Amino acid sequence: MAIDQHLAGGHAATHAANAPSTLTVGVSNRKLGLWIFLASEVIFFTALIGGGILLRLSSTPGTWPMPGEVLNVPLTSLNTFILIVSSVTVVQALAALQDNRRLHFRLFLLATFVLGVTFLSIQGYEYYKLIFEEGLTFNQYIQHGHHGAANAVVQSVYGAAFYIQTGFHGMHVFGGVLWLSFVMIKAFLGGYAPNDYEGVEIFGLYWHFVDLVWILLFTIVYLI
Amino acid sequence: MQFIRKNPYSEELRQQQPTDPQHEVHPHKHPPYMKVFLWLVILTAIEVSPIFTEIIFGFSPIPHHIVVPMLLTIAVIKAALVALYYMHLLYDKFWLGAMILSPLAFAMYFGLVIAVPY
Repeated sequence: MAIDQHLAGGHAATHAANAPSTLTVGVSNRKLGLWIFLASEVIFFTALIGGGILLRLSSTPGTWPMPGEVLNVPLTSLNTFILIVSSVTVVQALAALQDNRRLHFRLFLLATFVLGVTFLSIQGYEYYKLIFEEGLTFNQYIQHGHHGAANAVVQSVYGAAFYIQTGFHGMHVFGGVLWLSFVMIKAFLGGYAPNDYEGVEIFGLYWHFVDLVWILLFTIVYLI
Repeated sequence: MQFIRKNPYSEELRQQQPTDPQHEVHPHKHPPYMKVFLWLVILTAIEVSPIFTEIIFGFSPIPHHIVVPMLLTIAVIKAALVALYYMHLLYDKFWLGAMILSPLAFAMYFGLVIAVPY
């Protein structure tokens, strides 16, 4: 075992002291910490999404709107595209840093920031429309009557499931934007180098995870 | 157990890189980021096409019971692309992926327990 060798060998310990915060498991402490955090996030979001699915399966027939009936799918498709592009800009920023293309590195980070803020703005607009125009609240939604039929208020936990799932995801995006603003300030002040990119890589892991969760949420909450 | 390609982000490779900032930096070989992006866009377009058809033309070209598993499969493929290429799990330590997937295995087990009629 590598760890045993590390503990037994004084030479190895001296070597490790000179290396960046590294365990002999081959992953740095910071990166390992982030991955453990992401594993806890998997549990968190699985519980949220699983709870949403259970509420849907156990709802009274006719109290769960069809896809696109209440939610604005075209607008959210745009938001999905924005988040996917923001994932690309993060990996491109990392690649630019590794290749020592400093200007591209900073511009890609800036682009990610703008895309993150745009995503949140669109989600804010979506929430505003849903609350004040569609009447979607935690315990009811308005079913629009077709062919001249009157609108009906439907008692449902659909809104609760929707707001909790997308709201927690939105908070994660907000957290990511905050984190990114620190990374960006450091980058614009001359921080990071081709051999010192872990801070950007770790932020990227978090950002991609938030994108990954959205990919699943978009399908489960909006499309099916 | 290292049966996956050499990780370009590993500590060994990072320590082999020059620590002198003035030293000339050799370009890394990066994963196919743009190719993955293209696939993500194509898969998203396929994903939203049934509901867009319904919104524009008023009917769904594919029955609901076929659309649901299809959309879930596409979502899982997209999520896997992001995890494998953008989060570098394809190139990183195998156990990192196992660690992140293990809660999902438990979730599926509990989901199945709940889904089975009692």
